[in-house]
Amino acid sequence: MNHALQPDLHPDAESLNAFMEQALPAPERAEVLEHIAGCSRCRQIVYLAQEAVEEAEASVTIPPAPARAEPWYRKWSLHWQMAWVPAAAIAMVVAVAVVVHLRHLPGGGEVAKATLPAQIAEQPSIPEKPAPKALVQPSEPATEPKTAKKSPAPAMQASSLEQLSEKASPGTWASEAGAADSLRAEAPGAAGAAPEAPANVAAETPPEPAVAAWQEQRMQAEAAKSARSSQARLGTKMDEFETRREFAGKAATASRTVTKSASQEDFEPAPGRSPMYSAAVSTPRDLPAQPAAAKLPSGLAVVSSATVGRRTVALDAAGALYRKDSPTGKWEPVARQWTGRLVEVKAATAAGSTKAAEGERPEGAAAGRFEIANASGQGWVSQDGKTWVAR
Amino acid sequence: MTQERRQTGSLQLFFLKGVVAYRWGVGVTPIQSVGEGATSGMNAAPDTVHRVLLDQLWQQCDASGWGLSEAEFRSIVDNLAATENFGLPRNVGATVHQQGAWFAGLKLNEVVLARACAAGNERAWERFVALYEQPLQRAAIAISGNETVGRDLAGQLYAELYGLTEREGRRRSPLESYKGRGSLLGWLRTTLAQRHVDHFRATRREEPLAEYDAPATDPAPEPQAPELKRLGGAVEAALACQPADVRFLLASYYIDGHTLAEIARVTGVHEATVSRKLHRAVDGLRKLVVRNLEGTGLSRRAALEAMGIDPRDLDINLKRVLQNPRPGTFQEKAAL
Repeated sequence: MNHALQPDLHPDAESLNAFMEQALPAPERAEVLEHIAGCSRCRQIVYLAQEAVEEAEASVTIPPAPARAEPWYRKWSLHWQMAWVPAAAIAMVVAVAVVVHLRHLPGGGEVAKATLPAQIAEQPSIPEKPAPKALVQPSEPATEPKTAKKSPAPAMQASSLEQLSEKASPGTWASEAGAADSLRAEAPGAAGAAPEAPANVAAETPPEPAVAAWQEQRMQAEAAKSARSSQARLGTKMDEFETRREFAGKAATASRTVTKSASQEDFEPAPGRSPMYSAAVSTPRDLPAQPAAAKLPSGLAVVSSATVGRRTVALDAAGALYRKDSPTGKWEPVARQWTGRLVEVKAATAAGSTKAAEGERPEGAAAGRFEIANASGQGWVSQDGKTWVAR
Repeated sequence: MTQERRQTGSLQLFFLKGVVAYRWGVGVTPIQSVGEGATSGMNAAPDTVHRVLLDQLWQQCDASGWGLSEAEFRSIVDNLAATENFGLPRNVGATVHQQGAWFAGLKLNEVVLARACAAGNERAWERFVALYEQPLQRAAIAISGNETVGRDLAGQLYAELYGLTEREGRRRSPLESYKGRGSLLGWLRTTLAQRHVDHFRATRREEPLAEYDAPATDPAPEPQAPELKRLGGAVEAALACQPADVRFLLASYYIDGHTLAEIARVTGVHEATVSRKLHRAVDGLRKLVVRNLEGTGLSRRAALEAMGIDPRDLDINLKRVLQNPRPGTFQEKAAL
């Protein structure tokens, strides 16, 4: 019988399975191996059964790995993954509300961001007291454009007050901080105002008998100030509301003096501070509202002004020149008769001694004239402030 | 008196050897049971499982978990032992050590389950279905390569296992042929493969004639050159004298076309080992053919030149040479 063609002697399934599972003893394994080496049927059975084993092993579902605990930040991020849209919408609404609110504030948005000095915040409200402005420097408009632009009213107020004081009570300037302190200390009734707090702004009302002596002291302070004219522009100024009252036609029987005895650093920004801080400080909310007449018709701040007689010439931040014939008159624009951008206007005496418009009172105002200068140093003169000729 | 002492000493030595052998070989029976069993093992009747060992096997078996009674278990084990005689030749009594060693090599739980199923135990069938129904179906699909054919194959085998076939008025199940030397699932897979191969081989001959392309009749065999005839004879002689593992390797790789990985999984060795073995076998065959050629009177140079002949010119039936098992090795023990 041909075993290759008609095999009738084969190991049973038990033996073949035990052969595959290496469970046969060596002699029987050798017999099975001898058979399947020459029997294609049994070899086929063995390989098919082995294939089924591999399929079963491959189909065994791998147990899922134990779920690793997700970190808390992952859960948080998953929970908030869809919440960023409403959160962003809420944030945008809040931002818009803040911007709108700041725009509607009377002093501008920067006021809310800056911290006013405690002295200013605690300053007693005096309706007629102007703001002690010494921050706007007319001769240097380009250095602090933001300050001049954002606080036109205080700058105007400073110049107008100077004009008023020049007309009403010449020689009452006391821009020296030390002089102001001394004046305040010597002024009757002012001794106990703020003896331990020189930075405080004190409102004093000297009695009538002391006015003459007080003015005399003030003249001395002015002399000291003229010796230090370079500091006069940057130094603190003393504003006297008495002059304003006189200018307004009121009797100066009792003057109300607002002394800004604070040191300069109380109001001027520190060297490292930003211009915004300066602007914020220059626009205090608690100070009285600025008079409407302080604004020039252009709506810009007065950079420089000068007064000769009753005429006043003022220069705004844009370089436009305005004049008015009387203190109560209206500002009239002056036609351009110069070149370049004007940066300064001065009042000069007939003898040719020129004095800065700011902080100085021209001597012989009746015979004086106006002088203007542009950024390149060229100058023009005028008697009436209307017609200008090159100097 | 002296003779009695010698007998007692030999008994004690035998007892000691038995304890050691049992503990190292089986290691399942307590010492007192081993001693008792060893002592009584000499007198144990053939085909009878020692009762202490039987108790131990019952405690180890999980048959009580699925409802098999101890009496049924004892009956199955006794029947199994009587059928196989503990793996020993007939009419040879097995000691308790041999009995324990034989049972230790069996998948006792699975063979008890299979025998219980073959005996028609419903609880055993429930257990069998729960454990092997799905694996059996997956294995059938994997073997047949087709889900429909696989389900049919599994269903057919399932019916056979349940014992639909009756012989001599008694329901017969192929599970009776399971002896527990391998796993029951492996036995089921192998049985499925047997059924599938037999079915495939039987139906292959039933192909319609229209699709049957009859080969042209071979022309009259041309007389081979004496060199080719000599080379063919040398190759056949070389292949015939190869050991079984080499012939299995050559047949699996060159005739059946299995991969080295598949051969490695079947033989239980590493793939690299199979590769080295195959390479070594081919080299050995080449040398053997040359030696056979030299044995026919050719010089070594002529023998090496003969190795350069185109193999297609050789008339060698490798299948016939390799697939020629030695007769009488196995006898198909048809269970049905």
